[in-house]
Amino acid sequence: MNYQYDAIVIGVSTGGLDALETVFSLFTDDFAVPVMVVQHRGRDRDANDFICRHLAGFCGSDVREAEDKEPVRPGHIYIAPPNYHLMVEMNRTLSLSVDPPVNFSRPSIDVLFETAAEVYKDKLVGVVMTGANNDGSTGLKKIKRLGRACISSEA
Amino acid sequence: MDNLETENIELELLLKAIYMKYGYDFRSYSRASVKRRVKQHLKKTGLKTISDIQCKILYDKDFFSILLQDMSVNVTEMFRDPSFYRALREKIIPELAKLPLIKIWHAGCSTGEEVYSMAILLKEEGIYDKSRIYATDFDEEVLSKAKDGVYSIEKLRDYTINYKNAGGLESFVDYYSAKYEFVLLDNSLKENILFSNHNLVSDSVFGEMNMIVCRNVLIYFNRDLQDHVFSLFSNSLCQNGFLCLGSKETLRFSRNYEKFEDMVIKEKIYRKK
Repeated sequence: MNYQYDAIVIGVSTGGLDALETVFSLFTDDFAVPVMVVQHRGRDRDANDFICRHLAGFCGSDVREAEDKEPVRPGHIYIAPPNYHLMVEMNRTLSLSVDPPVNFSRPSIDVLFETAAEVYKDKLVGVVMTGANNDGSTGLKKIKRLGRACISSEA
Repeated sequence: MDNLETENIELELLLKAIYMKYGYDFRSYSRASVKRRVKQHLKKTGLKTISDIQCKILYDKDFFSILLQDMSVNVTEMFRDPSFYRALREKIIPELAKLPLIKIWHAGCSTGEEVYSMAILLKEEGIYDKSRIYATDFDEEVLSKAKDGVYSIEKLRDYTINYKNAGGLESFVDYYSAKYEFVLLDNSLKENILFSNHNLVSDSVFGEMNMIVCRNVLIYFNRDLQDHVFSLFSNSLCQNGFLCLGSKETLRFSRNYEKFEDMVIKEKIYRKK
C-alpha cells in the first residue's frame, strides 16, 4: 500500500465479512493507515464485538467499533456501529448520527465516503464491495472528484 | 476543490445568520451532520445554493421553521436500547431507592417517549412517588407533544417488544389507552414529570440532580460543545449522582472525565465522584 494516503474507507454489504477478511489480510505488518468501515448489517449490537475481534486476527491494526468524537489514528481500523451513520469531521475525529437511513441503509456507505472525501480529498482511497445495493456509488463518485483512488467490486 | 471551500463558507454564514436572527445556535454542532441536513434541505426546496437559503430565512419566518424542523433530530422510541433500562433497573434503581427524594433530569427529552419509559420503570420499582422528573428540550413543538403523551399506534408493537426486553414487570397495555390510530399514555405517569424549555447550548444549571439522562443528543454536538454540556451536567449533579449517555456516546474524550467513574460502562452510565 502506498503511504501517501491518509485514510482508507471501505463499504461492504451484508454478508461481506469474507470480503473484509480478504482485504485485511492484504495489509502488511507495518501497515498503519487508518481505515473506516461501513458494513450493512442488522440491529444486533453484540455481533459487532465479535466482528471486531474476529477481524483483528487478520491484520496488525487495532480493530474496534467507532465511538463518537474518537480521533482517527494510524494503526486503527474503525467499524461503524449498527444502526448509526459514521462520519468524519474536518478535525479528523469520527462522529455518529441517527439521521434517517440513506439508500435504506444506516450506517450508509455514502455518508461515510462523502464526509471522508471532504476531509482527506486526494489522500483517500475508497473501496466498495457490495452486491445489488446502490449505497456507495454516490460516495465513490465524490471520492473520485475530490480524491484519487477508487476500487469497486461486485460481491 | 473550489466549490467545497465556498460551500463551507456559505454554511458558516448560514449558521451565523440563524443565530443572529433567531437565536438558535447550531454553530457548535457536529459540522458533518449539519452540512448533510442543510444540503438535504437544499435539495428539498429546490434552491440553488446555501446562500439562497440564508437569504430566504432572514426574511421568511415560516421558511425558517421548515429548516429548523429539518435540522432537528427527533429519533426516539419507548424503552430505546432495552439493555440500558435493564441496567438501570438492576444497578442504578437500587442506589436511587436509598434516597428520600429522587431528582432526575431528562435533558433533550424530544417527544417524551424515553421520559415516560423512565416513569414506567420507576413505578414498577415502587419509587415513582418520591421521584421528580424534569424533562427539558429547546424545541417547543416536541415539548408540546411530550406533554400530551399521545403516540401513533403503529409503533406500539415495537414499543411492547422493547418494554419486555427492558425487563418490564407488567403488561405494557396497562400503561395506555388506545383510541383510533393513537395511544394515550396514562395520566398517572405524568404526575411527577415537569416539562420545560431549556437549551443545553445556552442555558445554565437549574437544580441539583441525582440522575441526568441525556441519550443520543450529544452525538450532534462537536467536542467543545459536548465539553461545555458535560461541565453543565457535572455542576448539576449531586455527589454520587448518575449520568446516563447514549450507548455510542462517551465521556472518555472530555476533560470532565476525571470527575466521574464508570458505573455500568457498557451502557455508558457514569457516577460523579
